[in-house]
Amino acid sequence: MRLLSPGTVGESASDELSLLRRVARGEADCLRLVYERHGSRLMAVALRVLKNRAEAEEVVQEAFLEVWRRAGEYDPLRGTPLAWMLTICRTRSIDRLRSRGSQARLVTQADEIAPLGQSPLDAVDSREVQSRVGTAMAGLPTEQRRVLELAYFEGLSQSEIAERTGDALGTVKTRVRLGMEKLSAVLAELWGEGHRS
Amino acid sequence: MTCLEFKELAPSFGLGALDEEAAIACQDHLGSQSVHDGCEAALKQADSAAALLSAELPAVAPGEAVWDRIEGDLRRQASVALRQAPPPPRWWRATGAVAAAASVAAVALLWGHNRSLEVQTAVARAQANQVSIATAEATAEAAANREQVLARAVGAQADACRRDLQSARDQVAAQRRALALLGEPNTQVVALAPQPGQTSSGSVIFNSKGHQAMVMATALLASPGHDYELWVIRGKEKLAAGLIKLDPSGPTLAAIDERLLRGGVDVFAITLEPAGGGPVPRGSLVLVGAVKKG
Repeated sequence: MRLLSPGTVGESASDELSLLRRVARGEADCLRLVYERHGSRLMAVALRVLKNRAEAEEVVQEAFLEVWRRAGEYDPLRGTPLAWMLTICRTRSIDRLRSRGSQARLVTQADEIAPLGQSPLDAVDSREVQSRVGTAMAGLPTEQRRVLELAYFEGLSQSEIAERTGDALGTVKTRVRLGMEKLSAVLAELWGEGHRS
Repeated sequence: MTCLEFKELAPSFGLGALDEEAAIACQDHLGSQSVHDGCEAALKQADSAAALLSAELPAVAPGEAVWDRIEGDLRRQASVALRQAPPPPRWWRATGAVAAAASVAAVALLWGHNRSLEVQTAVARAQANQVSIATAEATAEAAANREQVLARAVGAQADACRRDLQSARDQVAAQRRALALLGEPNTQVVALAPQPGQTSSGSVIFNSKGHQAMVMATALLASPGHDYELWVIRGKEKLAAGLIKLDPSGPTLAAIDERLLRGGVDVFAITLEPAGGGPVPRGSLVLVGAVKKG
């Protein structure tokens, strides 16, 4: 099995880049292809942040329209196309979360989650990545994992996390740094395997 | 902020965990200089590492309606973009005005007895404008093919463009004819003098032996319920030579029926008549000029 970077599961980076460039040229069919490949990833992030399927779907719709408008601005030096799209989706999800004005409305609706919508090949590679990341995340101390999730999925800054958890700001910063180091190590491992295969 | 400081903050920046002030400082640092010491790579690694948090999540298929809504939005955006695009015939109209102005310049140059090279240049410009017009027409037609929904509207614009193009071609043909007539021997230019209170002006290019004449009039103001009528006057005989069709884009230039010229001409005149004109002049005299004899 060939593992590439997590952002390009089942596809080569150049293929993804070329697809995004064609989207930038206004080829709607290519956007459809990007959607079919990665829509479920963006949906997962939006749902994780918003915990509401209808809102998550609206955010995914907005995110792909933003991808359509801004594909020409994508800079390969800044990350993989999927990482870029996930950032767009995550940012929009967090914006919407903040616009709710209250965290109290957050209700988990896990029963609304649909089954995976992927090709078998994608699912194999995706499960592999999920498994590796899951293992790495499970290896993180609970406090480290918690601060990473609060930052990434709820858009909280380190100060806000400190306020939320009651920990000292310095402690939060240390946990963020250590947690990110662990994730970077996993990333380097995955990329290393991808390059060797 | 130095590159070293940025790289220390990059993991938190990539995660989106920096406080606003620090995040702005990082953003400013990235945009502040063209050469960095590994800042982009550090941020890329941080972004990708942070994205692993989403990789752990089980994929969730959006509902089937989501893509339909995206597609619908794309169609709406495309439709709006097309509607907001400037219609090609607009600038053709400006080109038509330029063509007309070029024709006036050409005739004026001739009347100034400086006929040769300048005339050819003016005609060439008019012809070049025709090419531009043809291109505009093709552009309009191509646009119509691209968007079926707007095909009818674009088709109407293309038809209007064709009519304008034909009108410009007619004008250019008339200009050529006038220029040719001016170049012939025995041709005279009869100045049409404006009558008191009139601001218009005109001339008739008249070749008595060839029985050819062309009238040019400028600044004839439209008058609701009225038309300008041209008269060929021989002695006491006043022959109706037709209504003057006003051209808002420039002077009117038209040939006079040669059958009216065969018996000779003493005076050319233009009057303002009730709409539709008539066989005998009843309205007010606007322009008049006598033919020089001998």
